[in-house]
This record gives sequence, C-alpha cells and structure tokens, in this order.
Amino acid sequence: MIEILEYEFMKSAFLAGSIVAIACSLIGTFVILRRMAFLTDGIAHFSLAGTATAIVTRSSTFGWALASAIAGAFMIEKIRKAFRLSEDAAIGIILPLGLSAGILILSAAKASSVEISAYLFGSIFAIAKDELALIALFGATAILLTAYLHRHFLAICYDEEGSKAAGMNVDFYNTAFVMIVGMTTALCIKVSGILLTSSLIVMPASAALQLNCGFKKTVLAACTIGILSVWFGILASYYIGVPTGAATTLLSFSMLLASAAAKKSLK
Amino acid sequence: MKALEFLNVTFGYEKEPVIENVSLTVEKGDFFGIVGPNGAGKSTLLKLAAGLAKPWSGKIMVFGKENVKAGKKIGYVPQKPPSEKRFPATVSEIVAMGLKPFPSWKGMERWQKEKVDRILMEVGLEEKKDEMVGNLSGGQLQRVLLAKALVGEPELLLLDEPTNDIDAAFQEKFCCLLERIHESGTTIVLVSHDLTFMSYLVNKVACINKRVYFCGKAASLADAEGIRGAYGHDVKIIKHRHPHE
Repeated sequence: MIEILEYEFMKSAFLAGSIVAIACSLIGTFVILRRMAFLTDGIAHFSLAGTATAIVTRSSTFGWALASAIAGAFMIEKIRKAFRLSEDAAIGIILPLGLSAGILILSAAKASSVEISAYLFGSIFAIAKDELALIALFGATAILLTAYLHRHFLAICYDEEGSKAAGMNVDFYNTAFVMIVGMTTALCIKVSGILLTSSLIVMPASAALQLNCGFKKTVLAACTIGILSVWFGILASYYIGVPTGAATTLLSFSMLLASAAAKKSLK
Repeated sequence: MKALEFLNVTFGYEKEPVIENVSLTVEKGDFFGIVGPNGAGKSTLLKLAAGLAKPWSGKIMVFGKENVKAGKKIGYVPQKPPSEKRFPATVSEIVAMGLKPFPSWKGMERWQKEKVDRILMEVGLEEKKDEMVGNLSGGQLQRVLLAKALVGEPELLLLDEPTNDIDAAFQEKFCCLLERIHESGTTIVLVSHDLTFMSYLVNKVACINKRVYFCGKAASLADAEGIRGAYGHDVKIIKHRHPHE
C-alpha cells in the first residue's frame, strides 16, 4: 500500500480525490435536503459544453468547466422562472442542451475519443501539478464557504419562507449555494467524470442521512464515506484495473445500503 | 400604532387575482384573526404580510415601514411544517435558526443557548431539546416552529393555520400558549378556517373571500351579515368563553 504513494500521480490522485470528496459530501448534504440531486447531474452534463470548448481551444479545462457549471446552474434558475416550469423540467432542458453543444463542438473539432472519455468518466491518475493546485484552491474555497455558511443553508433547507420572513437575505444565500454547487461539480469532473458526478455529491450524503443523527455527525459521516469511496476507487483501479469512477460509485452505493441496514437493525 | 396595514392590495399567482383591493389595519397589541372559506386568499394575505410575495398593486406596511424592510420584527409560522423525516438537526438547533442575530458558523453563544432553552420551556418542549426534529409528532413540530418564530422576539407574529396538525386535546393548551404570547405584548395575526377556534381566541377578525367582507370585533362575527357573503351560505359558530370579553 505504502509503495504506491511513491508515485507522484498516486499522491496527486489521493490528494485531489480527498479534497473533492470532502467538498462534495459537505455541499451534497444540502443538495439532498433541498431535493436538488438532479441539479448536480444537470450542471455536470451542461459543463461538457465548456469542457469541449477547452479541449478545442487547448485552454484550461478546469476554468471552462467551472465557468460553464456555474452558468448552467444560473440558466436552470432563469429558465425555470422565465417559462414558469418546475425545476426538474428546467434541468431536463439544460442537461441535453449542454450535452448537445459539447458533442457538436467536439465532433466539429474532431476530438479524439480517448480525450472525450477522460472527461466523461474521469481521469484521476492524469492530474497535472497545475490542475492539482486549482483543485486544492477551489476545493478549499468550496469547503470553507460551505462551513462558514452552513447554518444559513440549513435554516433555508428547513424553512425557506420562515427564514425569508425573519429578514434573512435568502436570495443571497441561494446564489452562494448555487455557485458552490457549480464549483464542486466542476471539481468532480477530473475525479469521477461528467457522467458520475452525482455519485460523489449525492451518494455519501444520502448514506450519512440514513443514520438520522445531528448535522455535525451527518457531515462527518458523509465526508468519511466520500473519502473512503474515492480511496477504494483509486486502489481498485490500481490493483485490479477497474475504472476509478465506477469503483467509487459502487462503494458509495454499498455504504448507502450498509448505513440503511445499520439504522434498521438499531431500531 | 398600526402594526400591519394593507392598503388597496391586489395580488394573484397567475392572471386571476387571489385577493383584490384589500385594505385592513391591525393595531399594535391586537390578536387578529383572518377567516374565510378554502381558497379565499387567507394564507396569501399572510404571505404578503411576511414579504414572501410582492403585491401587484397597493402597499403593505409593518410598524409604519414597508414590510420587506421589517423582517426583523416579523415571526412567521407556515401552514405546512417541513416534512423531511431525516432532517439532521435537533429541536434546539431548529429553534436556534430563528435567533436574531443569527448564530455564527462556530455555534451558539451562551446567551443564545439560554434563550433557546427558555423558549423551549415556554412551549413545553424542554425535554425534547436534544431530540431529532424528524422524530416529533405534528403537534410537537408545530410548537417547534412557533418557538423558532418566537426566539427572534418578533413584534408581529404571523400564524398560518397553526392548529392543523394539533389534536383536539392539545388545542386548548395551544390556545393558552398563544394567549400568553399575546399578553406579553406581541401582536398576533392568525389565519384559520376554524371559526369556532378563532372566535374563542382573537379580539378582532376579518372575514375575507378575495375581498374583505367583514372586519371588526370577534364577538360580533357570528351576527355579521358579511360572513354569509364571504362563505356564500349561512355559517353556524359555536360560541366559547371569550377571554377578551
């Protein structure tokens, strides 16, 4: 086990994976409580448009993914309001829109399928030093912002109308929330890929919520499940050659089943 | 002093207005009830007062200021308590969400904890303070929401059908609790479709159905001609002891 940490790419994978797992598990708890799990999927798929632009223009994929993820999040809100649609309908519009734009850009530029697959399914072993620095910077920003605003987020999750009536600037906190979700989704792309983003955001938090304990314990459990899942994915990928994102997702799901069973047996 | 004032307010969710040209005044210290049939716009009126929706036309004033600027003076208890069974917070954490100033990210200060404990004792939930909120019954949850609204020391308390999930046995205790809150100087506006409950509790009442049909003393509600107009048929109110008479 220790010898694999002698490889630079392994160190980067563990470090980036752990940062992303913590950021995702933290914001994921609120995503679940607000019943917005589909939002992360929509944003992730929409960010393919930005990622494709980055591949074609040979510029920073993380920067483009981040910009398009945040743009996607705000477009969902705009479409919902402009067309008076439900949120899932707005996501249902944005998701294929971003995906189609991404496919069109990539096919026009004749991008290689290996390159596309890296963004669809993640490439945690191919994190360059500058990308690791960006993941650390934006991951830490997402974690600190979520920790700093968690009481406001929790109050809005519980009773948005009551919080607004009591004078809380709910629109400000909702905007901050959407930006953090966008940022976290962009972080996930390198680790789990566009298609498996929700496994990092939704599954650890869902597993932790099964335990029905207080907020601090819930986020601690979610972070632990998230980190263990990513580590398992990396190790499984290294030792038995399975794709990292898929192994991470399967372990997260096993933990969801285990925590539900544990809660049931304790009743 | 006027605690809440609706000045020719019209509002709707789609093209059709739900309330039209409503003018109402709630004086400071009033225990004010809003009654009307289903779909009359009672809850909408309360949401407008709480600043949760913007009127199409007209003005809403709270203690002489536009209501959107008076949030810190308002406590609002919604009609439907949040129903997430696995919400990761204890009763005292939920009540603390109503504190003003809001607790910092590090946690509650000592005075804030004491205040939460005091309010929980007032609503009779001191023993449940460390219980997960998802484990509570409907009536207990309603009291938690009331405590959450009260802990911010609102001058105007807006309650939307607060007895919906409360069984008959607890309703009287809940009424006594509301009376105590009122006696401590809080102006209360209460929406209910339960005329009997309302006639027992409030001192002034407005009967609405899109517009105001009656506004006056609660004691005269049963005899008011307007109530028939609002409901479209005769309404029988079983009179209870009136604490304000």
